[in-house]
Amino acid sequence: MLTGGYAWHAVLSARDAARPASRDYLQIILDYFFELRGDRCGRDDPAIIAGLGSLDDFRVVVVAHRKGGDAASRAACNFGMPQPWGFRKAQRVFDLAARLKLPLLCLVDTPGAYPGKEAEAEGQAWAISQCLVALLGLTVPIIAVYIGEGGSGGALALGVGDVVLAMEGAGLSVISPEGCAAILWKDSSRAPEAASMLRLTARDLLEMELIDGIIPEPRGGASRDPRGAALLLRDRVAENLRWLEGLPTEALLQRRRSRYRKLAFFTEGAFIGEGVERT
Amino acid sequence: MRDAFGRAARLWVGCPGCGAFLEREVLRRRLGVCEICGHHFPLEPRERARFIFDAASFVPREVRLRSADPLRFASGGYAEELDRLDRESVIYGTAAVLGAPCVVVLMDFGAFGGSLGVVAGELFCRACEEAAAERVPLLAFTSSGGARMQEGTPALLQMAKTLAALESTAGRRPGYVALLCHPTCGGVTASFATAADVILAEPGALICFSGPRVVEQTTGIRLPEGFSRAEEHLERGLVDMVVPRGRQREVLGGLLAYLGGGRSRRGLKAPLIPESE
Repeated sequence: MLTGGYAWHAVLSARDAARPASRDYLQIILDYFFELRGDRCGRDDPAIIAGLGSLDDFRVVVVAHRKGGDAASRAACNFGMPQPWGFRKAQRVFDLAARLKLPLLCLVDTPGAYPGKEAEAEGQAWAISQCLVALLGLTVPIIAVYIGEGGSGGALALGVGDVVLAMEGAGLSVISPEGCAAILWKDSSRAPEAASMLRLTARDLLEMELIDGIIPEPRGGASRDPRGAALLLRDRVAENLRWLEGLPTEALLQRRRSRYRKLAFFTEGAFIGEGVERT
Repeated sequence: MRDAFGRAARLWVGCPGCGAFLEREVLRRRLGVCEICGHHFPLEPRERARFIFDAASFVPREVRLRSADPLRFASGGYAEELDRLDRESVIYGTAAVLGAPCVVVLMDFGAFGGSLGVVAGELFCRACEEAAAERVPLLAFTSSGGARMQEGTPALLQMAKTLAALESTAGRRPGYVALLCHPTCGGVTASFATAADVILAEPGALICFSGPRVVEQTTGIRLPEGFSRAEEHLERGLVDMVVPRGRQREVLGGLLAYLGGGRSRRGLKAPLIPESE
């Protein structure tokens, strides 16, 4: 396939079950981990893993999407697709990080927020916007690392921070390539083409300056050498924690918000958008 | 759907709520609400502005922004569509409701399905900042299919951008009211629409993250009538009030005056707090 070759390959490898998931990374990069469960409102969502960890000399609060390893655990984790109570769990742990004055590490890897009946009825959209608001107001440093699939709003809900990195084989997209192809051509089998149009790979994201850096993966990708990939990730996280630690809270918040506020991708002066008065 | 009243030829329109045939001119005078069943037809921003705001109080900002088409989106003639449709999915300006000033954001479902793209995100942020500078409340009428697919991840990140603007102005703005209109979906619902201090909704409005069709296709479950509609969200505690068009001026006027710091005069007729139903 000529068009969509690289992008589609990246999509498939990001989805690859053999690719290390958040649990695999945490297992390797942390020296201590205490898992925190539940949203404190009566539910626990296994699609989100959260806890207290230590990484090198740092104590960090960790929140990540959880995809599971074998078939059974993947199903138990709903393939990493959180429900509203998963986002609420994430949010309460974000807030805990601020209370404990510990930096936050988020690992992003999800096909997206779960499009379920209960999820909608219980306010999926509300839960996601509250996560984002919490992250944009959090008084401690945040490092977000995209490690695999980045499915739209459900990924972004854990993927906003002071330093945003992506593993070489990871991505972030507004819609799945299948969904995009279905909308454009009513044919989801043209997903490979759509994948390259969406500019969703780590390379694209860096090129558009939407992320701060790419963490290279060992030869053959993270699936070949999860340990090697995890160690590269650990070093980059530690390196960034070191300098973020020194920033005063106000500067940190201002820097984080203006990072998003300053996103442009438009030109001024070429377009009359007056709308209402026009007949 | 784009123009319930259209100056187009047809004089009658079928009501999706009750099937009745309604005279366009009558429907227009009734603010796009079916006189038989109360169904709320979608409204263009211009129509909405006309009935919500005090006469001549709405001053839209003339902003000349054009999407840079960050993906150089190859299909569906996106660049041509940008050229052809000389408006964006968001307009904003200053206005007053029953004398209470505000900065208002109106989403236009007729422009790219009201989708949140890079220009729409920027305009929302500017509205937010103007509200902070003027020390007046922010009011948003949302109606959107979600983040704009043709602008990819930059569009997705408008969720974070709009919320960043809301957060950094939070201390200076005297409050933010959102009125969610049919339909409000995806990235808009999951960002500034539900981040308001007071969330209102129009009767019958579909308000969701994933649309009912996506949920049905993914889960194989048939969804009941009224799923993800404003009334259900009220019952679930996700919105504060479902406000029919006929009451929007009164409700918004009161809220904006209150948030703006003015003294609200006690309404004479209705009890302040109705008995629980």
